[in-house]
Amino acid sequence: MTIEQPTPTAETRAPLLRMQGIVKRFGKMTAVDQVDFDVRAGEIHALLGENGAGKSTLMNCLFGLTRPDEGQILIDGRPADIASPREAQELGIGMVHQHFKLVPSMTVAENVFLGSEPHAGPFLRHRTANEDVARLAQTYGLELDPTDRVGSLSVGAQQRVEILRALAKKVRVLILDEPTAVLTPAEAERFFAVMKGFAAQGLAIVLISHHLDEVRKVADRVTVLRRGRKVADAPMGALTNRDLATLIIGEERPVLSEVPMGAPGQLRLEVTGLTLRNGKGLEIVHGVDFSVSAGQIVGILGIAGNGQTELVEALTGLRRPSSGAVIVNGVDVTGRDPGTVRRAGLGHIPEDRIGRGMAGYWTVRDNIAVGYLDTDKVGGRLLAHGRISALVRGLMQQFDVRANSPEQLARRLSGGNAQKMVLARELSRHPSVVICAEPTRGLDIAATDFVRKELVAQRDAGAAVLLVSSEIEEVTRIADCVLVISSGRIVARYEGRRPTEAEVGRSMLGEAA
Amino acid sequence: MTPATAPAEPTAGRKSGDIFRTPGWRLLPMGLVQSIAAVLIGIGLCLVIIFLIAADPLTAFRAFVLGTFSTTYAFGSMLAVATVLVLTALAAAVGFRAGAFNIGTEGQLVLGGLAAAVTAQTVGLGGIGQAAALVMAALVGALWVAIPAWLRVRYRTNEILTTLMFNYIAADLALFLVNTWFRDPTSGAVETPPLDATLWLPRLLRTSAANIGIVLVVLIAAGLWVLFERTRAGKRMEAAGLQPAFAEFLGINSSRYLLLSLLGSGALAGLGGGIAVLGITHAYESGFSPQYGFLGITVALIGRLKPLGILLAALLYSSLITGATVMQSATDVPFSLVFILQGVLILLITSRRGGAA
Repeated sequence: MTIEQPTPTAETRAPLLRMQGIVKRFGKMTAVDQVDFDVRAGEIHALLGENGAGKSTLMNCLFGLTRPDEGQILIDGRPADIASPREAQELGIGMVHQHFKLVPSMTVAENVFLGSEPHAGPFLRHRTANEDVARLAQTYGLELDPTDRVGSLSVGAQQRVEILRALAKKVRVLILDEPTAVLTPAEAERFFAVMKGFAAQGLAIVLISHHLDEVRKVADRVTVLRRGRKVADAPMGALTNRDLATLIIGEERPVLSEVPMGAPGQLRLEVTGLTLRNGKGLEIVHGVDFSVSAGQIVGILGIAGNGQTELVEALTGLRRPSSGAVIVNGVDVTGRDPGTVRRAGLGHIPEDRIGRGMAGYWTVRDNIAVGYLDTDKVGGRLLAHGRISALVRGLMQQFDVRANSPEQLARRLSGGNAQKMVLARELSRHPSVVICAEPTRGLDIAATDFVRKELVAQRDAGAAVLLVSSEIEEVTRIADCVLVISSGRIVARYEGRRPTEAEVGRSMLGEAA
Repeated sequence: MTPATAPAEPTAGRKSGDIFRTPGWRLLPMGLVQSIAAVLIGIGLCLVIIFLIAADPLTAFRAFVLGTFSTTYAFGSMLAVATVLVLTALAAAVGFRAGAFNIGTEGQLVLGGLAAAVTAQTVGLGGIGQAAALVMAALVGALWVAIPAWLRVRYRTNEILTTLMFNYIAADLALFLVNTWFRDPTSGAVETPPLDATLWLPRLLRTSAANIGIVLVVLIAAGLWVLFERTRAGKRMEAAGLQPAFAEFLGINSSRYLLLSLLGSGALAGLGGGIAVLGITHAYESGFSPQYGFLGITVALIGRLKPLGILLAALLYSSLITGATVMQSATDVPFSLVFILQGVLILLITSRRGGAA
């Protein structure tokens, strides 16, 4: 491995990597149009843009996953023709994908050296591998035990394995594709420190992200792509978040301005003394009480992993509580199955959108229609295709689900459209109680706005909305009542007013409210 | 800084890893084109093999492709074989759709066939005997898959392995039962006494094996089409098969659908055995099935798990089988060519552009 000396004058150095006039077309669509991009050693260069702006395509050109139609790539000023990821790696380019490519049943070290195992003749040298990984991990400040099985690691640790794998290949340019999308905020914080450490050691880092605040924390320079074209390349300090948002979406950001407080009515969801245990029998939620009324958004805010995922599962029938009660519209649904809870009037927007919220190998049409199987909108005794099509087309329009056709497979939708499809199914029947978990995770600005507006609209139409989120900004903006959860307990309540981000931030970190 | 440690139960570990848990028919590619292309490539490859090994390639070639249509007898055999293949293919499709690989259709078919022979002999002559025999065949088929199905639902035991192994148990169990109680004492082979002609399924083409079972099978296929495409239960079953976590989220009881589908799958395969015995062999004979069960899996895949597709695929496949039989008797190319074709087709149909997803 190479550990370069830190260079204090990163800005003045010649770019380590330069992409010039890159053009990539897919059929008639130009995904990347005459884009210049460069990154210097010791620099963190953020690449921003909406879904589909061309960020991934540009980076795929760099990593040899696809070849540009025009333009050239220079490394240390020398033209490089990168035809495959292997060649990219040989040139010192590493990429950490959003979706990990790890073997869960293998150890950390085995994963890191997969395909290039240290060996003596035909025999693998496990000890060497473990020592190398331990040394590498220490050098880069990545906390990992080389002998752990990857399948037993948390998502954050799995990401560290993925990074280590890139670093093990003498990497000089590291591309990180939405590295924090899968991390809890605390893990993300830790990750930022690690990333800065890499830069200090002389790596050139390209960071693809949606999160302006995150980017602001770590990046030195920022490039913005919009519809395949470069619209900005500037030092981070030169642009405000507002500037960036405008550059990214191309117009003044439709800020969800002051959402008026809701007018709570009748009690719709009551939770009393809810206690939950995990698979190992450990108590993870300790006697939680709260209620949500019609016309009210209650936000449960907390750093991921503090019991809120399990809490939502218990409320929606996916997990059986060990004690306590859940009452939806006066019906005791404690420990009942998800179908019963739904029939009591509950709509659920799940945290695990891909796994729970939709069937990727189903069409958009089926994914939406399946929520209406108990109605006559999909047919009488037998399903009627005409009625289903009318229903689905109407809902796709209403919820702005952009697909080529209703017959498109759901897995081909972008994150935002997938979430809108879930909303179309879950919210269009006007459930009296809406439970949504991390509803805007991984979405771009426009989709995020759409989702939040829809939640407020549901509230104004009289629904009781429970918003479970780890995004401070989200909860403090639209919730009428904020509960902060930490280690399975509600540690702070703000009713009748919206707390400031600083206030809730402190309680999330466990300080007294 | 905070007690924000990793979630107690990492979801990553639960989701990843077990390739056998990939819901069955997600393995299928979507295109009709691919089915047709696979069949053409498969047949093309067979022709190449014929060309390479046959002394007289042209004769073998003609027998293989056109043999089915050479005589009424051959054409009737083709229809009779297709009848059984449709049932075993539908059996496989019902399982696949609910997310289970029922690889045990062969065993369910064998025991269903034996049950039909024994019941027909016991209950009596004519329509009542036939009806009772077919019902019993389906029941025994369902019963034979019930144990793997229950193990799967209750303990998540891999049904691919259990149903596969149950084939061997079924084969030996049938052998034991026939030898101990049901064997025709006048015969040297392991078989039950020949059935009375009133118990035979009425023939459609004289002198051939084609029988009225084909009508029953088409009706069943139509019924399953309605179930899959036009009913709520069909859609729920599909959701349960595609993505159990999604189905659970929607309030669909995946286990129930899985169990019912597997039982239905077994019943169809068992019925296939009954129809083969009452319609073709007119007695239970050891080895009466030229692997109808396994062939049915191929047919189901070629037919893309859709009833109409399966009807067509079964006709095509059984004409190739019949053609191969004709070819074997007329030339030096062996019947085993069909098994090469089967392997090639499965590879082509289950493969996807871009490799492991």
